[in-house]
Amino acid sequence: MRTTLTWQVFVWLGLLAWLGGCSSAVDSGYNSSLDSIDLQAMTNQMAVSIMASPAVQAEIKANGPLRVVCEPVENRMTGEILPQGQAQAYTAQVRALLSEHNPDQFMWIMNRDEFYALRQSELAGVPLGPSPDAVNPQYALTARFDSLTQENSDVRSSFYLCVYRLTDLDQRRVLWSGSYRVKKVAVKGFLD
Amino acid sequence: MSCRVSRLLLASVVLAGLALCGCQNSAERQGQDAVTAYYEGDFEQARTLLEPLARQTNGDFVLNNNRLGSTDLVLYRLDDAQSAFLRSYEVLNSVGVNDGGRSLGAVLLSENIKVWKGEPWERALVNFYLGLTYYMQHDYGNARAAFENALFKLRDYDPDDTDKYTDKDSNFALGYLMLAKSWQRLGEADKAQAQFDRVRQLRPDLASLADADMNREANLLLVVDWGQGPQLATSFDGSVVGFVPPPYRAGPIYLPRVLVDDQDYDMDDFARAPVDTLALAQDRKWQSIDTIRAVKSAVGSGLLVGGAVMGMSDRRQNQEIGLGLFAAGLLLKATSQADTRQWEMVPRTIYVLPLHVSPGLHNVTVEFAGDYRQTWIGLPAPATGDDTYYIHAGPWYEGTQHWPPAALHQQSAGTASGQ
Repeated sequence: MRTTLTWQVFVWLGLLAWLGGCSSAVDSGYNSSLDSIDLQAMTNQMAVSIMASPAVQAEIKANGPLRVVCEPVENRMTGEILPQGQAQAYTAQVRALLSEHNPDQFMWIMNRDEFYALRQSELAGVPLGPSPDAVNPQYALTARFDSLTQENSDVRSSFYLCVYRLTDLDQRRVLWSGSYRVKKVAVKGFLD
Repeated sequence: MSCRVSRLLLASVVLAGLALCGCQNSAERQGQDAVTAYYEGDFEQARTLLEPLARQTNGDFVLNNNRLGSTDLVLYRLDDAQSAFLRSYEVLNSVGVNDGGRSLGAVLLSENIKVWKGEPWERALVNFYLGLTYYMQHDYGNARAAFENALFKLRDYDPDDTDKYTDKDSNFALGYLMLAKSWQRLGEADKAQAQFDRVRQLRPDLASLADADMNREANLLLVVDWGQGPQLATSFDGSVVGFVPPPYRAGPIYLPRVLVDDQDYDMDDFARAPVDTLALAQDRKWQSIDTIRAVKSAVGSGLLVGGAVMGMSDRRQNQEIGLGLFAAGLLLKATSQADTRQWEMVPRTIYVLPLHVSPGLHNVTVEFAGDYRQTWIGLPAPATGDDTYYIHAGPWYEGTQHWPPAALHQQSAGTASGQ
């Protein structure tokens, strides 16, 4: 009786393992890269920090809405790829938050690459307005991501430093700067 | 035969059947057909077969995306190759992708159930090719990151075995070389020099190839795949795997000859193979599952022998016990088969050939000891920076090609017209 039960457990375990083996390869893993939670936390923090900056508020009070061009993130992370879409998303999300909550304080100017990409994707004959060369932004919202990454047979760990800057393009003056730091660890296990 | 033995046999047959059949046989066959098409030079057909497979997030997800990436690279579908390698990169950088049912299945039933991630050197090559797609498109920041990650992947070898790690490191000077070139294009001369120095330290024979000035002045970079990479082979009972052939059996690596506008380009100093994948593959990373499989196989063999001996007894009870042992042994042997999946498109070596030519269009021919002659008509060489061209040398791809390749031409036309 006991032997039969043992074998039944074994067979059911085998069947479960077989069925479990058909699960997705992309759903169960995790890694030490920046993710959507970081994107949200980081961009919220930056948007709040920009608005709370006395220098930014003084500039808006003195000269009206800031004309800002938004640049993609410069990837200086060790061993971490930042695809073009994500590189744009990390600054575009700050732009979106500021546009949503403070529409009167910023005028967003499309950067040159975006402009020409959009123009290429439009049908011929549809005007897109003046070229970026004709509408000069006064400030640039830029970001640079650095990381210290280590990997061995047991673990991969990354410490990220993501620095955002709002720079006066005429005077090369950094009007505002903010940073986001996070450490991530992925511990390797069986079959990793 | 008693009821108990019948059940034991039935359970053995069911489990052995599950272990041997797996759950994606038709997909595996399609993948193999794609590999065959690739080696017959029918890259479009290979792509057609691989494209739907690469979308399936099953255990072959990384493998099929690697295959698709290799195929798209030959076809100069650079965006598609990049996407395919990036999908692999994301899974390779993740941990725990085999947690739960897959781990249990790999231990109990068949190792093929696990999500294939390849050997550390295969993971390094995925990152190398991903970096190459970025480098070819002048995205040097991401190219640098990918080459760095390629070097990280070799650290999956036993860190306590420093000899082995150093050996892998020196066999993958290719990664350091491309990392140096990426830093150079990013304008970080010091960091580039540090990596060039590392190449020279690891491989003194590559000193000329790792010359910073030569690389800075080069404006036409050829990256040339040559030869057949390592092949997985199993032991007689399929429980132990290794890569063959060893480099000394495979023969020498042929050196390329390059003609620019029908004139020999002097590459005597720097035309050296910066990697030999056969050498890289000689040391497999031994994992826990290898031990489990080896133990299962050994115990299974013991049970088979023991069962056979007991089965020859005159007593009926002993015969039944013998049959039970035999069935258990059969089950263990059937479920101790090694995972034989591999990325079949890996070449023997990858040449990096930085050429300095006058700005403009050039006809470039690459050949190996008079074979695999491939001519590209009208390759542009810029006045500043470098343009990179990937050449896949082989008997199936000889002849004359016109720049730009069809896929690249369509991609440019599609972007321009808004499609």
